[in-house]
Amino acid sequence: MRIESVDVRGFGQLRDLVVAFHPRVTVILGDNEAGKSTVHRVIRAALYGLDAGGQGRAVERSDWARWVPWAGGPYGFAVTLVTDSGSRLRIAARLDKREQRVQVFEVGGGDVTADMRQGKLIVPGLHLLGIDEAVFCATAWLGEDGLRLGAPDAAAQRAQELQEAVERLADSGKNTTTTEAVGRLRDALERVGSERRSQSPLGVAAARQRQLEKEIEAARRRVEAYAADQAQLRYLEQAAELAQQRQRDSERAWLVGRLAALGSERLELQRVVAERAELMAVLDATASAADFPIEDEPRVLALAGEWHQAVSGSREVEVRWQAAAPTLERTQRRRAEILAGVEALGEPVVIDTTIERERKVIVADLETARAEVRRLGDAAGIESRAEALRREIAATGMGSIRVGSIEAVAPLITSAQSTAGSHLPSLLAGGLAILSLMAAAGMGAVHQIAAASATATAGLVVAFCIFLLARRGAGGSAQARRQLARMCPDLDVSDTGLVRAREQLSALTALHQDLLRQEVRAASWREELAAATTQLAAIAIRADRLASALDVVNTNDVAGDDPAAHAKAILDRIDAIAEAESRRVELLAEDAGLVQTEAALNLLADEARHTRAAVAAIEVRLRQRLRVAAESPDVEAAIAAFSEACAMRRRHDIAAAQLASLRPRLGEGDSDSHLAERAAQFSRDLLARGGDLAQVATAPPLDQMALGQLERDVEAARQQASAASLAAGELRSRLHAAFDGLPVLADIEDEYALCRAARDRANHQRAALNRAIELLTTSTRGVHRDMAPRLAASISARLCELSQGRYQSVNVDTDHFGIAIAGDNTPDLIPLDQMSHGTRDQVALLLRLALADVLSDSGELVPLFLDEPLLTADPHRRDMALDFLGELSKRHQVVLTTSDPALADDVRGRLGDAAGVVELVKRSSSRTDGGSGDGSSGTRAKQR
Amino acid sequence: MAFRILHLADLHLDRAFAAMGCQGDLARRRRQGLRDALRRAGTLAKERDCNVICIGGDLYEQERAGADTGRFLADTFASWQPLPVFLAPGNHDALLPQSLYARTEWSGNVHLFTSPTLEPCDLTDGITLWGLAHREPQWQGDPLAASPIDAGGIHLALFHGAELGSRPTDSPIHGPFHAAGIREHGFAAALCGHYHKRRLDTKTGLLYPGSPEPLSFDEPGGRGPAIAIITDSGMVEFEALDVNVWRALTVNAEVGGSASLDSLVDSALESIHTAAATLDPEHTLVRVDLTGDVAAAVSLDLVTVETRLREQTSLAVVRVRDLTRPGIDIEAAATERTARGAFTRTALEAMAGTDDLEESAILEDALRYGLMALSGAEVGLR
Repeated sequence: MRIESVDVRGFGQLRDLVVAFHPRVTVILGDNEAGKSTVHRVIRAALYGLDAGGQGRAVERSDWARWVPWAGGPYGFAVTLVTDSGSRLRIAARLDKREQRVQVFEVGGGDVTADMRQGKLIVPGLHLLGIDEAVFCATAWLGEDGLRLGAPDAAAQRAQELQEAVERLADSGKNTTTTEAVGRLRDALERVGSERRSQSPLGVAAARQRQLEKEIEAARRRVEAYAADQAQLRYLEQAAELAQQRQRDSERAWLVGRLAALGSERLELQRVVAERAELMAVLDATASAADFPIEDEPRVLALAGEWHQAVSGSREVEVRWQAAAPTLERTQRRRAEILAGVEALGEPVVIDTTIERERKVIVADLETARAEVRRLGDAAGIESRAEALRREIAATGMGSIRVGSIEAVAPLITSAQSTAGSHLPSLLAGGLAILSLMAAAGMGAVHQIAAASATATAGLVVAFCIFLLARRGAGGSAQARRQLARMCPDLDVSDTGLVRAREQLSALTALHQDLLRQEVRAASWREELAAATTQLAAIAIRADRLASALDVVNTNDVAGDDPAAHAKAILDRIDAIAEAESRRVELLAEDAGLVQTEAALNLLADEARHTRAAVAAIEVRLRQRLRVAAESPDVEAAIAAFSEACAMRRRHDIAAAQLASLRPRLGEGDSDSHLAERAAQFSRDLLARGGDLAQVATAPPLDQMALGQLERDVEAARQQASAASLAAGELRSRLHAAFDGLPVLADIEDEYALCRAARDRANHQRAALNRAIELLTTSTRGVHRDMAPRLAASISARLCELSQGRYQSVNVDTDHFGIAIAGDNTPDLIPLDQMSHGTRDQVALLLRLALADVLSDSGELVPLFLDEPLLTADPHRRDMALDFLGELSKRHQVVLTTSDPALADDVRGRLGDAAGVVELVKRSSSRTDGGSGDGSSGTRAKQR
Repeated sequence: MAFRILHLADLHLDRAFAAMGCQGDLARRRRQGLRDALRRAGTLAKERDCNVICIGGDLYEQERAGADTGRFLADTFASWQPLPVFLAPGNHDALLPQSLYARTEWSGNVHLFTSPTLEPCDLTDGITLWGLAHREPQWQGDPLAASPIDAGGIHLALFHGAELGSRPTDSPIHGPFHAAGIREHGFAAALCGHYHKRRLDTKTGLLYPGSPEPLSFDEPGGRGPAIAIITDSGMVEFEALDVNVWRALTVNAEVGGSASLDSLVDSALESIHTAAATLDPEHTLVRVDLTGDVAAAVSLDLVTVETRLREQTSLAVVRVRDLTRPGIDIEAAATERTARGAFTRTALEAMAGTDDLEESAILEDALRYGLMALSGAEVGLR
């Protein structure tokens, strides 16, 4: 990159100044305060802007404030430069306000300001050269010391400063080396301290934290122990409460049971008193029987039982005898009647089974035959029916016709009836004749004689034929009538009669059929009647034979011609004999039964007499035993009186015995009032213990064993409650005493947490600082290792070229960029501080340029801005430097300032057209001589 | 007449306040402040004609709660008689055998829910309160897991649980549930505890009263119990009460551009005065977040800043968080070919290559310290 021109509107002491730069070497010549260095500053400001303060930097002390035009007026400039690629850029800055306005314009192109922006700043130098302002200042923008690195009196020191400067640039690009930075980090580490250093903040925090951990642990133990004691106290209190509850429950149960027992005792006592009164009453009531000989009671009772049994048996027998006595009388009377009856029946007749069987057969046959005869008698109406039919047939007038011949009469009636009233053919013949004659007369009237005669003839012939036919039919009908009259003389053969006969023909036919059936039935009846009569006669004969076999019936005495009646009479006689025999048997059988009854009743009469005697004997013995009651006429009452006396004696004895047994119970028990008093006391105790008196009514009374168990339960519960209460009381006291001394965990934990936070924070700081040191050291080592060879190569190439091969190579160490040079006449590397002044200057300059190359990746060659570089150089050294700069300017534009016109001339003399001189002249008038500057005051530039 | 319930939760008695920078007397004052808040709740309940008081868990912190706290609670609840007090233990005060709940003798007006599932308790005719207890600190059950209630009347739930729809970041989950489940299970409202941020949601019936006093710097503003009002028509309304004595707030102090530590402290002081001007300084805890780009030349040492801010204010607590960025263009520095550039690149690459937050934080501070050292300034410790 090369600067083409600078146009200053106002900047420090410069105003309205235009400076044109030579492409290779430009010498800016001017007196002190002419503004030579300010021109350099303008170029730097164009490349990197002006710091206007802020971000911790005071505005009034900023570069912007420093370079405000001294004479006032516009504040700004324009710089034109050409890049190595040929682009011409114009950088214009207006700096009137703190917020600077910078424009970068490519000449022949457009606005490229945005391309040059770095944050809020416009920094063309950073973008074009690839190095920031610090590196630019350190490498390309050199002050008076820039080429005075090797003052003769302090070569080593100057070389060291150069190395340090390079190291600063390589490490931070500014005024700090990594070594210094690490030192600051270590200082910070010292401030943090370490856990092993007990006096350091971290050591104090760590130690305190450990101590607090122990305190917290101890405090927790105490708090937990207290909590456990509290829980134990709660347990003991609950145990005491439970024991007390159990005690109360047991006491209540004991009291309830005791009250129930007292109630029971009182009831028992009342019952005994009542029983004693009852027994006393019994004794009073039975006092009369106190000496009754109850010892005779078994014997008396035995006799009484015997007597009762005898009396009972006697009464039973007597009752039976009384009931049987009329029966005996009736039996005896009946037997007499039976005897008379048997005698009245006469001699007995023997009817064997054969006779009896035959008799029954005959009776059955007779009944059958008689029933048949009665049935046939009922059928006698058949004859009457036939006779009635005959009369009805006779009423028709055709009674003479034989039954079954009616079919022959019907055609005759039809024949007779068919011609009787037939005059129609005759009338028809007459009519026809008249009509034919009238037609002929008509024709004749009209003179149709022939036709009239034909008509009349035909009509008459036809009428005659009809008449003949009618006459022939009338002859057959008469003959039929005559035949009918012969067959049925009673039949009316007139036309009317024939009509009626014809109408009766069907009814007559039915009558003939009915009559025929009646006649057949009558014939059959007559045959059956004859057979039944014969049967009855046979039966009468069999009855006669049966009577003969018995020999007790005389058949001749039996009247009647009717065989049925005869047989019936015989059979009735046989039945009467059989019935008499049957009666005899019955009477004899009844008599046999009556004989037995009579004997039994006689026995009963004997038994009644015996029992009456036995009762009398027992009664005598019983009366001998019934002393006191013996005088009673009634034995039964005497026995009852004896039994009653015995019962009284027994009740008396029992009551006396019970009364004797009650006396001890009455004597040893409490009185009722005493019991009531004790019950009242127990009731009060129960209520005092929260009990319910209603339970007493339903509670079973407890016996002594149960009450004893409850009393033991009460005592055990009381002891447990007492023990638990005592333990709880002791524990409560201990807890109360320990309460105020309990540690507050939160207090300790607060301090612990803060200590831990401080410790964590310090350890974090230590870790970060150590990591920073580690990273910084590692990074720096890497950068140095990378940069040192490149610096060496860059310097070597330039130095070999510039020294025409006198120096072959340069070594740069990686630690602190110490430089050693190898010459052409020695193989050894010679440290820079042992080289000549001129060589050191050249190497210093080349080192800066090499740094610019290394630290930049733009490839742009950096112009060199040297401010009074040879101010103190001796002539030889100046010559060497100028020659060196002349060679250097072939690649890098060189801008140097000087107040020495001889130096400017020397440059011009050495470099010829390769150099230009711009003289800055303070203005004293409004115009300059041939200068390009124009202004009323300040400085103007003049090309020389 | 409406039925009124004063509901509070997350009191966290016996809490350690080191995280807020409190220790010693100040921490004790803060703990006493929690007890005062509980007493104040009882007074409020009486003043506002509340019928019952409900406490939705985390009443105290079991790991630090001592016998004195148990005595305090028993005495306090007894002094509220005959006002009924319903307790639903949470994860910090789980109903363990050694817990205060188990070893303290409570007055008759205290009803302690002991079942891990909701169990009913009649408040008055037609209003039933269902409550449960965390029986272990890590209980993960669903508080609303019980089958829906079919019975008539108004049913309210009291429990300690994490409503998943409104869960703050990093808040642990204990007793998870969804707000939509409240009405689905037949409850008119759920009086909950766990989240320290207040939430009154009459739409879903969800009520988180929040912690009555600030327990961290993330709990700013007015705080206190809430009142649930069951109107005669059966509607449930919520009313929040701001009665906290202590205030916590976070002040953002833009200190970018500060040329020195003095000017940085001055900027922070100005921000504090602006934010806390109306507050009682003795009961105000301020966390100052320093932000902005601070020049590397300014040695920003947090302990120093915190000490100076505390000395120059009368606030109970001043805590400083350094959220500033170094006044260095790190991206630009990373492009440098210098050792600083290499250092920056290495540190950034290491940060990008680790998932370990602690390691990343160390690297971030290492980068900052290194750049600060390379700038020539004394390294200020964060």
